[in-house]
Amino acid sequence: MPAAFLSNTAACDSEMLRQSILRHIRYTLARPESDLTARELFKPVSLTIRDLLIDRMLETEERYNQQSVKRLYYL
Amino acid sequence: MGRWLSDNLCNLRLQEQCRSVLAELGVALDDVLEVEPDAGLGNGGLGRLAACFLESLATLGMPGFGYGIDYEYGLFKQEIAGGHQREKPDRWKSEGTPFYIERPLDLCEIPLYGRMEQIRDSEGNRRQRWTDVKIVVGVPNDMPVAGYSGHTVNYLRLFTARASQDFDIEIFNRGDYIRAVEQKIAYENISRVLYPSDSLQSGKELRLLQEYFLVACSLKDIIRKYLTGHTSFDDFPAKVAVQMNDTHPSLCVAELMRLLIDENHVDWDRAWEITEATLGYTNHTLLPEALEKWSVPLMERVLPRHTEIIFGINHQLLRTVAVRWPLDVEKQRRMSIIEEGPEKQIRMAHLAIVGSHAVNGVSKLHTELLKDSLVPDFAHLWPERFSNKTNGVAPRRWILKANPRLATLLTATIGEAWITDLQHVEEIEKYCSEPSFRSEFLAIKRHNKERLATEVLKTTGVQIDPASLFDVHIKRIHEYKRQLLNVMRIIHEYLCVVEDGGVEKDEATKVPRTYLFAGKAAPGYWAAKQIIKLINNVAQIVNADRRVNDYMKVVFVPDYRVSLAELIIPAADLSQQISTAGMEASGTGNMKLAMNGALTVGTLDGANIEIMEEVGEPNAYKFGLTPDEVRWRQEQGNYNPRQLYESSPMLRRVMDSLANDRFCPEEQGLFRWIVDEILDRGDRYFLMADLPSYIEASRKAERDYREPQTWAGKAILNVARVGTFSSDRTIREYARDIWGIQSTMLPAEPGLPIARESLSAEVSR
Repeated sequence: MPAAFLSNTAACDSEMLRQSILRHIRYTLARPESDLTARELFKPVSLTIRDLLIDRMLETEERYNQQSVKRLYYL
Repeated sequence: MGRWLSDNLCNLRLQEQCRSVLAELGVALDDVLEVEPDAGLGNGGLGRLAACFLESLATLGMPGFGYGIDYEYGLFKQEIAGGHQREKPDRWKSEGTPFYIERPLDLCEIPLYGRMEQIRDSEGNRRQRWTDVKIVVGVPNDMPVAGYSGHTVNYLRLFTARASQDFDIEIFNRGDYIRAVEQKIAYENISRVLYPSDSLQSGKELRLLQEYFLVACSLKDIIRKYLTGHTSFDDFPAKVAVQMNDTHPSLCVAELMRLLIDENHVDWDRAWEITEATLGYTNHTLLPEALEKWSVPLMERVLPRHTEIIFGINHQLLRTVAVRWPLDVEKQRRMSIIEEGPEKQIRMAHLAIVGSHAVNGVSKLHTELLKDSLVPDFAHLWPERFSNKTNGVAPRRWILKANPRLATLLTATIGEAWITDLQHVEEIEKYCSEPSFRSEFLAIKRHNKERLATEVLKTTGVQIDPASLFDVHIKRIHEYKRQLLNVMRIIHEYLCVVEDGGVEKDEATKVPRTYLFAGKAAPGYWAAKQIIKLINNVAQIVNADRRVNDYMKVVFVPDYRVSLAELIIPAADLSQQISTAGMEASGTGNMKLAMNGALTVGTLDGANIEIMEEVGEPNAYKFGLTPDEVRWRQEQGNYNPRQLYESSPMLRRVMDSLANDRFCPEEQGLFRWIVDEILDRGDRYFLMADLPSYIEASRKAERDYREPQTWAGKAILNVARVGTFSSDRTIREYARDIWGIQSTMLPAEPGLPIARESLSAEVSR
């Protein structure tokens, strides 16, 4: 299920973002959601953003394949 | 590379939403962002350039991908103890790598070592075959790279080295368990640690292995991807462009040849055509000691097949040269990829040039020097290959993210277009005399300075005054970058106050100044480490001396890295860009600082020249010998630093203070090497020649700072006039002239600031 909360206008569906963060908190920390520290939250927040990036990355790759682009590799 | 979470939040424009969600949970977003360590996968400017380039490629919607090594330990963490640099291992993965996307199925098997064996092929011809190779495995992990607005997300693919499964079989077969495990560990060391020298010349085998490992994994990956959609290599250069960032990946030339010929049955001539058409090379340094060379015996032992190929390429080169300039043996010797000597060396820059269809420098001056003095023979042979691509930096990172208040002011005044097309900042120019704009600008700078002062107090215990002029020198510690020249200036100013009894005649009030240094020294670079010690010693003495307290504070901020740069740059008033003219290829710190409203004190070197041209004479402070003047002195051999010393009381006083242990009362003779280096060993970096004009330029800046309105006006003009130093511009130039790639952004996507038409208008400008 794509992380649809990032639309083209980059205005985000706040509720979906919130749900995603809460879900990652639950399934990364696997402990009651009280007294969350900043340190603990780094991973779940990152994973939330990662979901978004993956959706966009796959769309990007699709676009590249459709246009049969020439690719640049920077070493 | 910096910190991924905050970068991505910025580019996805989700900061505020995230902030409120986390606030509901009782946590501040900023605290969460602080948790992440910087990914220190590069040494300095070169590595950071790659990061800015990848971001620009994504922002422009271009299909550009990075390849790198997944170093377990990045650039060392710097601590200061007793004034000296101490290196600590960089545990950048300590909080995990949540952004990684594992790619276990895309692993690559890389051959190493072994030997060449004579065999007869199916037609009875004698051939050489690479045999008895060891295999190391490259395992990729991808880091997503989001462009601004998130419409495009590319990736940086990082490889980790693993011993192949064959190792386990060997253990079983040979029964020599411990030795087999040791070997396994040795191979996995390839991706263990980043070599921390940014101008290396150590000939270390492990470094060679790292370079080859990167090249081999990348090309294997690239070819594999290409072959999913093609059956022959005819279209390869039309579908693939590879850019070699300095000579570290120059083995691409030999490896691409090897893969085409040995593994894909392409004949030599065709393989060569493909290789040249695919590869591009960017040179990043003119300093001779930084030009990579590998000894032939080492290369033969580690990569025998590549050595063979390199000799073949050289043979081809020398034939071309001989045809073009018959009987000029000197030219062949100069141009040869192989350097003769007691131990033959492979000149990697020559290999890179020969194997590329395009070669570029990174500032106008640098490219001229590249063609005129570094490799003039190649410039004559293939003038069409050489072009300039002045460096740039990503405005999303260096203004939007690092200086959000300035970003807000810009957007409120001229709209958002500047974010993806920095040229728009020129619209700010008409506000530069407007009082309300100026005071807003100054308030922002003041806030940034207060923020920095808090951090500096925390990490150094030194209290700096946000009302003082923040004079910053932030870059790798290097003799050619002349932190030493800066210290000598500070010593002079200090002595003026304490010995000449205060301020000079026609200055009513001296401007209080904070001299801030930051930067790492390569662990093996003794002189650079001594310079750090000197800065700290001078700082200690100056800061403790009540007589200068109102005028001067000196501070060395430890562990310079991207996140520290993001704090310092928006807070800077004066930007030190004082390399010996002709030695800094471009510089990029100079651009970041100018974009944030710092005025430049600089020599006519690298991109300084272009920056000063753009901002205009009154808005920067130039000084010092020009590149021609430096070169003339070098060529004529007529530079006499001792004579300058003897005829200038000012120079004498500064130098003598170093010789007399004034700044090292507890460690006698500690800084005498500096005096020896300058007076007796030729002052290679021309400090004696430049110090007087440097002090004058510095004083001029001070006089301007005394009038906040004047200063604000000049600072704003700097911001307004450096639009061309966006890496978006740089990437468009590379894309158009060298790579032949295009933006894939669709014109009518709502909310995207750049439509296709305006992009092509940019390109044809």
